[in-house]
Amino acid sequence: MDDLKISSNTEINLYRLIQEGLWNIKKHAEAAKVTIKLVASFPNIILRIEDDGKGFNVKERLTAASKEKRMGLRSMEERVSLLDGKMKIHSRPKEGTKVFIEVPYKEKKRG
Amino acid sequence: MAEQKSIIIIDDHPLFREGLKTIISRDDRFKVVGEAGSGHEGLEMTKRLKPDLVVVDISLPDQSGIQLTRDLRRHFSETKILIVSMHSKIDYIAEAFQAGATGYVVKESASERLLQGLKSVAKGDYYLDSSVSHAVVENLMKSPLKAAKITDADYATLTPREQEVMRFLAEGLSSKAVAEKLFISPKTVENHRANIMNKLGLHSTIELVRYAAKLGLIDVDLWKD
Repeated sequence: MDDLKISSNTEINLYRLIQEGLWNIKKHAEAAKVTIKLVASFPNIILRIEDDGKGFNVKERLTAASKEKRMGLRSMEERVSLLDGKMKIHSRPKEGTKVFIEVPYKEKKRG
Repeated sequence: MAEQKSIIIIDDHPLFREGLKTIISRDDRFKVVGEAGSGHEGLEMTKRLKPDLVVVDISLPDQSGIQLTRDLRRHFSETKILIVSMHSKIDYIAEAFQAGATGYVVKESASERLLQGLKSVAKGDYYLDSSVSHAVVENLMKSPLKAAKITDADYATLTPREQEVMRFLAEGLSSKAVAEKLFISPKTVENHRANIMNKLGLHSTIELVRYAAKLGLIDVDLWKD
C-alpha cells in the first residue's frame, strides 16, 4: 500500500469512509472488536470494515433509512459512488457486520 | 580531549543528587552544570543552560518525571534524557521511553550503571539498565503478537498485473477465464500464477485462496450476496 499513488480525492474519501464506518459501529453495533483492512488490488483498493457487534437486517434498515432520511450508510454509499466504486454490506442480527468497499485508485482517463 | 557533555540533574533528594554528582565526576567526559529539586525548576534550568543531557528522577514533588520528560522532549529536542528510578516495573519503563527518554537506570544500580547509561545516551543510543532487561524481555515474550499487520511485505512485491490475476484466481476463475478477462493468453496467466505462488511462498490454489481471504482480497460471506 505504501507506494501506491492515490489521488488526494480518493485518499480523503477513504479516510472519511473509515471514519463514518467507525462512527456507525460506535453508535449502533455494540461491538467488542473492529477490523479494518485496506488492500491494494490493482486497479482498485479494497476497504473492509468488520465488527462483531449486534448486526442488523440490511434490507429493512436501508429502506427505513431512506424513508427517515437517515445519513449513516447512505452517505457512505454516496461517497463510494462518487468514486466510481461499489459498496456491499453483509450483516445479520447477532452476527456482526461486514462492509466491503472497492474503489478504483487509478484516475480514469477521460475523453 | 573531546568536548565535555554538560549535564543537569533533576531530583528532589539533595543526598541522592550528591551521590549522582560524585559518580559522574569520575568520568571527565561529563560535567554537571546544574541541579534542580523539582520539575518546574528543572525545566527553567534546562531552558537557561541548554545541557547535552538531563538526568531525571521519575518521581518529583511537583510532577512526574515522565511528564517532565515529555515537556523537555517537546521544547528541547536536542537534549538527551536519562531516567533514574526506584521502579523496576515494566510499565514505568515503557512509559519513560514513550515519553522520549532514551536511557533508564534503576537507582539501586546507579553506582555501576549510570556512567555506562550516560555514555550510551550521549552517543544517541538507547540504554536500559541490565538489572531490568530480564523483566522487560520476559514481558515482551508474554505479550501476544500484534494483531494488526501494517503491510504485507510479500504481497507488496506483486506487480499490478499479478494483483489482478491473483484476485481472479482466488475468486475461483480458471486460467482460461482469467486470460479472457484480461485479454492475455492462458500461458501468460500461468506464468503470472507461478510468479505469484513463488513470491508469496504458496504451493496450491487452496493456499492462495486462504492467503487472499486473510488479506481481505476475497470474502466468502460477501460472495453469496
